Amino acid sequence: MTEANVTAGSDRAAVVTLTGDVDYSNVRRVSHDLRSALPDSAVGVVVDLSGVEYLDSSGLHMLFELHRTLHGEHREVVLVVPESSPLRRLFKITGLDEVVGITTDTASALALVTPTEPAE
Amino acid sequence: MRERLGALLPVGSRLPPAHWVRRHRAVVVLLWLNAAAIAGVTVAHGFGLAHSLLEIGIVPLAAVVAMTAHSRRIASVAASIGLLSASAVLVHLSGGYIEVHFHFFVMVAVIALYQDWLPFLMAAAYVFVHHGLVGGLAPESVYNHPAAVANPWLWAGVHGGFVAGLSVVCLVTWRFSESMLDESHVARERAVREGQMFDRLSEVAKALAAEVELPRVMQKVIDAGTEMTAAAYGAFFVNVDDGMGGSYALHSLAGASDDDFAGFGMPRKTALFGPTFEGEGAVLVDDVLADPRYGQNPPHHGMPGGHPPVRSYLAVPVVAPDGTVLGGLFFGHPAVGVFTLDDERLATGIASHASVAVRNAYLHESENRAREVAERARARVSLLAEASRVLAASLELDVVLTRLAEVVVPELADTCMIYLVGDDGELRLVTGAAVPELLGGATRTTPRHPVAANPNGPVAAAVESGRSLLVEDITDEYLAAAVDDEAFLPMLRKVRPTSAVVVPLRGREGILGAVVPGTLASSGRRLGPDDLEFTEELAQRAAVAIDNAKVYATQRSAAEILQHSLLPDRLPEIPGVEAAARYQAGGVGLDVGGDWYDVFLLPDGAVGLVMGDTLGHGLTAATVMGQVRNALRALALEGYAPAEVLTRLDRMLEDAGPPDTMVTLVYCIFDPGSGVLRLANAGHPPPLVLGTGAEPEYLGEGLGIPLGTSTPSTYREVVTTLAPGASIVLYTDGLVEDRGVPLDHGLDRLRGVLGPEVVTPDQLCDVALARMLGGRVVEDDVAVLAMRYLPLGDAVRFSLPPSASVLKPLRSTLTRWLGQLGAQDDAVFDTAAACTEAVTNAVRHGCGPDERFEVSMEVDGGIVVRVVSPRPWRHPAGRPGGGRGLTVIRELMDEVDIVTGPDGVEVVMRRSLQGAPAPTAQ
Repeated sequence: MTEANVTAGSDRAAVVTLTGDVDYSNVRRVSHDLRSALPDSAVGVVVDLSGVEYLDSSGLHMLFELHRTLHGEHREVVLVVPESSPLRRLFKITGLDEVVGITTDTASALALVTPTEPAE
Repeated sequence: MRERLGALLPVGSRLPPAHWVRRHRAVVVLLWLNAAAIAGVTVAHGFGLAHSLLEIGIVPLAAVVAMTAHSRRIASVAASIGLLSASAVLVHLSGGYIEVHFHFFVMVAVIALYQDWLPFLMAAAYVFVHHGLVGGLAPESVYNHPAAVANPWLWAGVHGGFVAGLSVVCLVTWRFSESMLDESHVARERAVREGQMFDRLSEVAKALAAEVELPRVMQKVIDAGTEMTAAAYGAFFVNVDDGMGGSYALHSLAGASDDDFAGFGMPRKTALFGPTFEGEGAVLVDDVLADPRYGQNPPHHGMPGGHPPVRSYLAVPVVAPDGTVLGGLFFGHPAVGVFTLDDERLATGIASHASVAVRNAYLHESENRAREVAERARARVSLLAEASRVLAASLELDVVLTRLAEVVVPELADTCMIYLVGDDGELRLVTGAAVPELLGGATRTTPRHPVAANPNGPVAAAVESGRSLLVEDITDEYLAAAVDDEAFLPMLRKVRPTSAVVVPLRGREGILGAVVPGTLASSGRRLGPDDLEFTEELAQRAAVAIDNAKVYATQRSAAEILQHSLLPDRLPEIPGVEAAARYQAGGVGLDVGGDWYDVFLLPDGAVGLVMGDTLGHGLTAATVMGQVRNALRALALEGYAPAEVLTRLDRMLEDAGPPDTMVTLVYCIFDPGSGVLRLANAGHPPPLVLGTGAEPEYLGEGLGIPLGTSTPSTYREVVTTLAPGASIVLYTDGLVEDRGVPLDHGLDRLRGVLGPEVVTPDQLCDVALARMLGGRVVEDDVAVLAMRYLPLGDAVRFSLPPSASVLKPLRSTLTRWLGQLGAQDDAVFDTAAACTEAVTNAVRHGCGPDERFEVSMEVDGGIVVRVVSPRPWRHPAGRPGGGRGLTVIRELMDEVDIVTGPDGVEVVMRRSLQGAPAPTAQ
């Protein structure tokens, strides 16, 4: 069962957790759920993929698109992927790791999406 | 003169033997008395013995002859001689004493008793000769007075004259006696004759009493009459009341064959026949040709040509006790003057017996008719009751129509056609039946092509007007006008309908059609007004049954449509598992059941299996089933566990379901990746798990009560792991329940029939149905669903529809396969990822709507996965993500070949089971 849930976050960042498999059969729904889960106020989004066993090219595409959309809104996306996850190889093959930040845990991810505001 | 004298004189020798013997005996006794008297006188006179013997000798001699002679004549003559001799001897002995002469007178009178001329004349002659001769020769021996002695001849004449006088007186007496005798004789003869006549009439009466059939009665009457009157011909005409206000004439003939009279009409009330038919009395004519009444009536003026020749004619009316003339007896003879008054009396006697017999025959006939009518009525009442029963016994329109036709044929009619108004308003012949012998075989002939009724024909008219119609005589013209169907008319003409009844079938909402019983020429029977009445009664019942069948058909088909729409058209194809299902509808005439099954794929790639049974039948059950099915799917897709799904369904039914619904249900989730099966059961017969190597086992008994019982309940779940190759069989109770057999027994049987040789889900379903139901159609619906966890060998091959839903289970199965092969995690992930990309392309681009693609996996050093789709991928690289798919495939596999040809695309991917993928050429 693939689910996208907002599980934690702060005033300025949201943590969305995906579980299960993401492939062509459910990517539209997952994508919709993911975007719905994003609060408008969040300037940064952490997508926790620790519970995702498999993600196909359409899932990759979803992540690329998420990045593109949010980037246009000056919002950051950071993925949480365990070091041992085979997804890391996919991200590497497709170059996703070059456009979005990838961390191994939520805390560092949150730190990445909410850089200290320059004091003004 | 001579005749006259003959008439005056007695005939003689006519004494009846008994009388004669009695008189003769008296005479003989007298003879012996005379002999004794003579002997006495002789002794008294003192004659010598010899003289005495001589004197008396002649008398006893005569007596002996008289006693012994066989002939009446000789006996009477001997006795007469003896008597007169006694007189002569006595006169002689007395010495001519005149008073002794009186003895002569007495003896002559005695001799007259014989009433026979010979002894009588002899007696007269004896006296004359004796007196004349003896008197002349020896007068003193005859007379004792001088005057006589002096003139013996004179005195002989005197004595003779007195004897003659006596003789005359005797003759007169004799004559009277004779005529008296004659008269009594005639009377006796007459009595005898009448007695015989009476006897014969009695015999006739007795013979007639034994007959009750009118034609036989008539034949016996005329046969007896013709014989008894010694007629040459006899005819008996009877006017028969047919009991229905008409009459017809019957005749029986004797002495002539029916053919002789075939050409003649019945005798009419002519001058000659009239008195007989008017019942006026007997007509006896010695010569009919000379009778003034003969030949007066046109057209024949006498006997018609060819009539047997008749001169003597005798006719008597046959009149019933109430004076009704029933008919007449006619006798004829070609000779003149044959019939006597006795014949007339005989004929009259026979006629009176005939009237009784004919009356009896009438009574018998009418009694028979009454009994027939009563029996017919009774038979019809029971036929109607039977019809009501059989018509009500079915709700299938076809069956109702067939049974209606079967009730009519052959009891009521030879054929039966049933017309119904179709949904389009057209009246068509829908069912026909006929007595098979009359049609040469076929009992029921439902027209191959519907025959539309002639809109101007009698059936359409009856349906239009609602009025029944009886056609007692169907002519060819009528038939041609009534039936306009070009194929049907010649068929009808061939079997030649003779009569028919058309009765509209009056339903609740108008006229449904018409039932048309008919008769055919070959049977000889005809339909009448009472048949019309009966058909109307029958039609009333039939219309109710047809109405019910129609309503039922509507409801049933709605329920059927609903149920069919709820059962999966075909099961989803899920790589790694194989499933099959069967649904056998219940017996004819029963409502659609509420059984259903469902197989669906859950979002996480697991398979949902459902088997349910809604209590009850028909539309309501089908509706509940639909609600439960959809609710279950919704809950399942939400990811609820089986027990949770049941608990929620129970609550839903309680809150929103129709009242008094109860559903039994098994829901399991099977994960083809891990082989884990989770099962919950709401009062349903437990599924059977088999093919595990061990004995088949029932799983999930006693996990909960049926849904909708309004009893708050918690459903538990059982979890097991199916080994590859194992199967689970779900079913409804119809499969294992049999009347009078405990459920346990059915469960044991099911376990027994599904042996290790029964492997695939198709086999499991078919064998379960065949062996458990034995080919019979059970009353209840039966559903069976089997799923097998496919064992994976070195080579696996799937042919799949282009559905994205196959992706996850395919990946699970591939993962399972690779795990079996001992592949490392990276290799498993890489292969699954590459395969998913290739299959995604095949699903998205490689297939037309009804086409399939193939996935095969085999071991070949490493492993080889092939994905073959029938169409070229359209712009795979131009699509967002599509390009990345190919990149993923190439990067993760050791070797990739993508061959695009006119027959589609074949992707061949190789991967070693260990380590990272070898760098591939881009």
